[in-house]
Amino acid sequence: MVRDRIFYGIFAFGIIFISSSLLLGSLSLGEDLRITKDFGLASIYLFSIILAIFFGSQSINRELNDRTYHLVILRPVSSAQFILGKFVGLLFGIGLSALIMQLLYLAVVGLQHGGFDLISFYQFFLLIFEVGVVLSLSLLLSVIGTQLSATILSILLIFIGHSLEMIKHAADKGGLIAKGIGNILYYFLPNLEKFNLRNSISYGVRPQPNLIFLALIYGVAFSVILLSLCHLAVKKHHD
Amino acid sequence: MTKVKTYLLVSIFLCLAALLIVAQYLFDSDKARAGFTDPIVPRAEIIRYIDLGLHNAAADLAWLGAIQYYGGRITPHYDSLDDYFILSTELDPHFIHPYTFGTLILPTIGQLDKGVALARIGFDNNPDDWLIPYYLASASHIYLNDRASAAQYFDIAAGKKDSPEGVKKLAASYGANGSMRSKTIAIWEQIYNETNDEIAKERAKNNIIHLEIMALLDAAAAKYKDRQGYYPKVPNELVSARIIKTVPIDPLGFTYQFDSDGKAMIK
Repeated sequence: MVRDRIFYGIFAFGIIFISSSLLLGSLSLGEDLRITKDFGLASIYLFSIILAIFFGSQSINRELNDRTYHLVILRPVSSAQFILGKFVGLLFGIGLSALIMQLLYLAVVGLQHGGFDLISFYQFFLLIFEVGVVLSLSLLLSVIGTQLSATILSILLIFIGHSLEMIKHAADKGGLIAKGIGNILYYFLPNLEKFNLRNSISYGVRPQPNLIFLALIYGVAFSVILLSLCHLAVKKHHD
Repeated sequence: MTKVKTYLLVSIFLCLAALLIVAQYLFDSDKARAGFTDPIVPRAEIIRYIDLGLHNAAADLAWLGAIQYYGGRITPHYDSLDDYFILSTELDPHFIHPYTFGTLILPTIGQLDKGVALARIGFDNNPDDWLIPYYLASASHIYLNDRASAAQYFDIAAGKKDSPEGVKKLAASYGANGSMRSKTIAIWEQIYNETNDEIAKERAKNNIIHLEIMALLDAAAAKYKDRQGYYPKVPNELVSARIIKTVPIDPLGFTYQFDSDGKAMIK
C-alpha cells in the first residue's frame, strides 16, 4: 500500500481538504470553528474510507489474479494468516494516515481558537473500526467478484450502511413484505451509523461509553464474519 | 529542426490557451444574456440518504450556499434563500446561525412570514438558546408591530442562561417609557392571565412589578422636583427626602437611576 503512488495522492488530497476548511470557515459569517470541525471530521472520514475501498478491493484480488497468492501459500503461511495479514497491514496503513489527518485537524482547530479537541479522538477511535468493517467488506467482495464490482458494491453498501435506520423507518410504514425486507437489510447489512458521532461531537457532546463499547463489539463481530467469509472464498478460489 | 519543433509546439500551446480564454468569455456573456435562474435546493430528506451521515457538514454547505446566493446579489427576488435556510436547519436543527440570519434578512426582502416561521421552528428546536427569541422579538417589534409578542420574546431571551447583560436590560426596559408603560403592563397582565406555564406566569408577574416600580419612581421624582426644584439622580435621594420609605427591590434584579428629565432608568 505505501509503495502505491495513489495512496499518497489520496492522502495529499485529504491533507489539502482539511487545510482548506480554514478558508471555507472564513466564508461562513462567524461560524469558522464549526465549519472547520465539521469539514475536518468529514475529510478524515471520507479520505480514510476512499483508501479502504480502493486498497481493499484491489489488494487480494491482485494477488489472486497475478497468482502471487499461490507463491505465498507455498511458504508456511496459511490462507487465513494471509488474509489476516493483508487486513491488519491495510488497517494499520490507513489508520496511520487517518492519525496524521487527525493531528492536522487538531492543529487547524487550535488555529481557530477551538482549543484541544479531545472529544474528536472518540470519533477517531470509532473511525478505525468502521474502516475495519469497510476494508473486510471490500476484501470479501474483491475475492467474490472483480476489482471494479467490489469498488462499486462497497460504495453502494457504505451509502446504504449510513441510511439503514431511515430505510427501516420507511419500511416500517409499509406492508408486511416491506417491513420484512427492511428488517432483513437492517440486521444483515453493516449499520455504519453506529460509528458516527460527528454530528454531536462538533457540538462538544461527550458520547456515552456504553454506546461506544457496543459499536466496538459490532465492528469487531462484523469484521470477523466478513473476513471468515473472505477466507472461505479464497480457499474455494485456490481449490 | 528541433528549434522549429519547439516553436511550433509553443505556438500551438499559446493558440489553445487563447482559445480557452475566448471560449470562457463567450460562455460568460451568453450566460449573462440568458438571465438568472434560481437554483433548485434539494430537500433535506434526500440529502440525508446520500450524505453518509455527515449531516452537519451538509448543513454547513447549505449555509455557505445561502451566503453565496444572498451575497452574490444576482437576483432581485431571492426566491430560494428560504429553501437554503430550511435545508440547513433541517439537516442540523441546532445550527443557530441560519435561523437568526434568516429572521434578520427574510423580512427585508419581502418574506416576513417565512422569516418569522423559520425563527419559530428554531425556537422550538433550541429552547435553551437566547438568540432566536431575541431575533423573533425584534422581528415582532419592527415588522409585525406586535408588541405583546415582542415583549414576551425579549423576556424569554433575557431569561436564558447565556443571555448577555444588554439583552436583560433591553427586555426590562422594553416598553417601559411613560406613554408605553401602561400598554406594556396591560400586555404582561394579559400574558399572566392567559398562560398556563408557571415560568411564563412568574416572569409576567415580575415584569409587571418591575414596570410598576418604574412608574412609582417617576411619580416620586416629580414630587421631589416640586420640593427641591431639581430631579434626583438616584432613588436613595427619594428616601432621604422621605418621599418613599425604602428603595423598592426590583424582582428582575436591576437597580435604578434617573435621567435629566427625572425618568427612572436601569443603571
